[in-house]
Amino acid sequence: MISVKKKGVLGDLKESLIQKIFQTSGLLAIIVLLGIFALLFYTAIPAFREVSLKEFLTSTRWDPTSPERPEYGLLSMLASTVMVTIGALLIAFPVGVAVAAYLSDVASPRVREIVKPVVELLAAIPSVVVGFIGITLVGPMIAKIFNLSHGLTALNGSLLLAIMALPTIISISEDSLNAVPISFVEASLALGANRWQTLVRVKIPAALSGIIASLMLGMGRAIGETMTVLMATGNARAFPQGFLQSVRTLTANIAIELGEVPYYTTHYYALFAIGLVLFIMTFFVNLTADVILEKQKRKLQ
Amino acid sequence: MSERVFDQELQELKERVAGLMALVGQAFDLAAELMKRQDLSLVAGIVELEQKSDLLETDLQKKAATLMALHQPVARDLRLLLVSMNVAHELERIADQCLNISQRLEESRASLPVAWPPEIEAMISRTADMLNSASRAYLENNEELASQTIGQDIFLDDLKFSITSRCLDSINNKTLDPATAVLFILVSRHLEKIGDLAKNIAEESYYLIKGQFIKHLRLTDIYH
Amino acid sequence: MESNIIIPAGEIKIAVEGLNLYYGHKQVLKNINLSIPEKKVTAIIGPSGCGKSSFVRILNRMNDLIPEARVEGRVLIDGENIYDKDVDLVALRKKVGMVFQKPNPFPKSIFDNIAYGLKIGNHRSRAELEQIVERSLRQAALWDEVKDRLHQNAMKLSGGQQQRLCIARALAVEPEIILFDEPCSAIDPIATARVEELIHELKKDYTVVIVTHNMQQAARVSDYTAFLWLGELVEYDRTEKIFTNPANKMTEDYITGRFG
Repeated sequence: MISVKKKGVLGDLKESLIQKIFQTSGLLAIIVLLGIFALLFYTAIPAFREVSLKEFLTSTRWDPTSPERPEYGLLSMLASTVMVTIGALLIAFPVGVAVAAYLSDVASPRVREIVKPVVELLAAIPSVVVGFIGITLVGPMIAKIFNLSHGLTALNGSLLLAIMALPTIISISEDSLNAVPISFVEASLALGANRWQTLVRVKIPAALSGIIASLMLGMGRAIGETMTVLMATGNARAFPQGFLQSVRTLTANIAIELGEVPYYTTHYYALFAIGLVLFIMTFFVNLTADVILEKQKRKLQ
Repeated sequence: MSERVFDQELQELKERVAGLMALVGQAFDLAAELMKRQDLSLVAGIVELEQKSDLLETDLQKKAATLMALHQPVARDLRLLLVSMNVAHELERIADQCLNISQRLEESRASLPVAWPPEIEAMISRTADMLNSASRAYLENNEELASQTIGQDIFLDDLKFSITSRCLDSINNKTLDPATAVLFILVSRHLEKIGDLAKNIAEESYYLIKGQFIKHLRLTDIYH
Repeated sequence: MESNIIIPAGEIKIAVEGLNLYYGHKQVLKNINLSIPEKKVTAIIGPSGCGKSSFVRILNRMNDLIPEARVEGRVLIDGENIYDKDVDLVALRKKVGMVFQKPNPFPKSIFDNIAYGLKIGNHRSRAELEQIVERSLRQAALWDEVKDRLHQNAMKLSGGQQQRLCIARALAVEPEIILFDEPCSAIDPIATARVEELIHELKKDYTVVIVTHNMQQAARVSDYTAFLWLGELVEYDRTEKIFTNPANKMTEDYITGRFG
């Protein structure tokens, strides 16, 4: 007869120890996140002793080093960030979804085996290198096509960010397309639909939340990207007037000014306030993406 | 082919049928003995066997119904169940016929002893044969014995016809006591009935083995 | 193969001739010859892996989805070989509908599920669509249960309702043949009984081929039964013959549960 009573306490101890270790690791991630947030928050707060929140959020003028009257409005840079990001997604999203559909539906297994790692390798290119490409290749091409003096424009940034967002969009969209149960595809084909109709009417709608999540994650990537835009967009402080002008994004601004700013000045604190804004933006974008992905998982179960 | 639990159940059912066959065989032997010795003390034994066979048959039908409901048999299994139920029923009716014979003898106790005409003697042995071969056809899945049994029935019919007309004649000629003549006629009818029932068992067995119904077919149809 | 039935040429809907199916190097179906009668229910039975699902998938060319599948022989539907080069797959699959093992409604509304096959085909007016949706749902004995919630997501229906929805969806495109691939393996006994009733109804108008691992189901719903074993057609006969007195020992051993 097998006894179901516990034998000794050692096993229990080991069990609980292992549990503790994993619990701590999990907690650590949360603690780090909260720590970063707290750091940003506390370093950003002093900025608002001299700058009103209203000015900070609504003024288009950013000139902290002005000897007469320093100005701390981030709206121009925020608009630049949004513009470059949206531009990037307008390019990357359709291309990314098309590639994902191609990989999941059309490509032969062998083609997929080659293309997928290549796409993922794209994500491994350092952003500095992408920036190089922007300066030496894409920028001059834009200058040539649009007859500009130089190509360091919002469009240049968008194109490069699009390249950087593509792997995320392709990879997650393809995963969601593949997660669509084969039974849906079979049902559609058995009803006389062709492959294209099945893709557009069944697979993409079923995978839609995953595809949208890929868009959000791509957006998170684009908003936070610094080096590439710093190198490629010309960094003009003015409010952006169009895609063919130089712009300065929030991230680029921090990177440019933080190296030279005297510590513990209003300017210094204001840069942290910009960081906080960026943090909140990417946080919500990623959160939305997570919620959507979770919803998709539940829907297809 | 693995042995199924159901196989054991079917085997057990078949053994019960075999048990009932043995019992009914005893009743028949006893009835034959009674006719031979014309000793009415044997009747009680036949009554007892007939009652036992009733009980056995009821049990068997219950068992078969249970198996039917729980296992939902098909093909060979289905045929074995159906045939066993029918065979049990026929056997029980054979026991009834044995009892009938003993009752006919009791009713005619005043005329006993009688000298059985040769047709009756022949019918007794042929009926015993048919009963035996039909039982074996069922128990041994023997298609040949089944066909043989079915073939014998016609002789019984002839014998019954012959004794009936002879007895009617002798009543008219007053060469035989009418009561005795009626006894012969009735006994021959019972024996002929037993033969019919044995033939039914043989036909059931044929269905069990071959999956074909041959009831109500002519002999020539059976032998293709 | 043992078979005592010869289906008159005029009643044959599907004729399979010398069919071999390979997945890569593995032969899944071996020289199958079989005539499936019109407006009758034909059941395909056999142990798992005997090729019965592959066999029905031959009949609407769903096996085409498997890249390494290769078919030899002919499959004639109304005299036309569906493996000829000039066959329009879309037309074939409209003619030969299919209901799958697991209910697989699209994550769309009940209405859109039924209308799917119609919408991808030629355009129809809304009124026409509504009429066909109602007709199909009635045929599938589902109308009364869903008529007030046609625009609710089909995934919210019970498993049995989902399966009847899938049947209605297949009926909507007005097929002539309906293939059922173990349609009741994922639903409860009461839902199963309803689907079986439905199959009985369907054979008035459609030729039905049903794959089932449930022999009692084959016995209950079909007129003809084919027994496949290791890719070979062992016996094909009228269902009542198969289930009372099969000609082949292997068939008998399988249906009485001695193996499989």
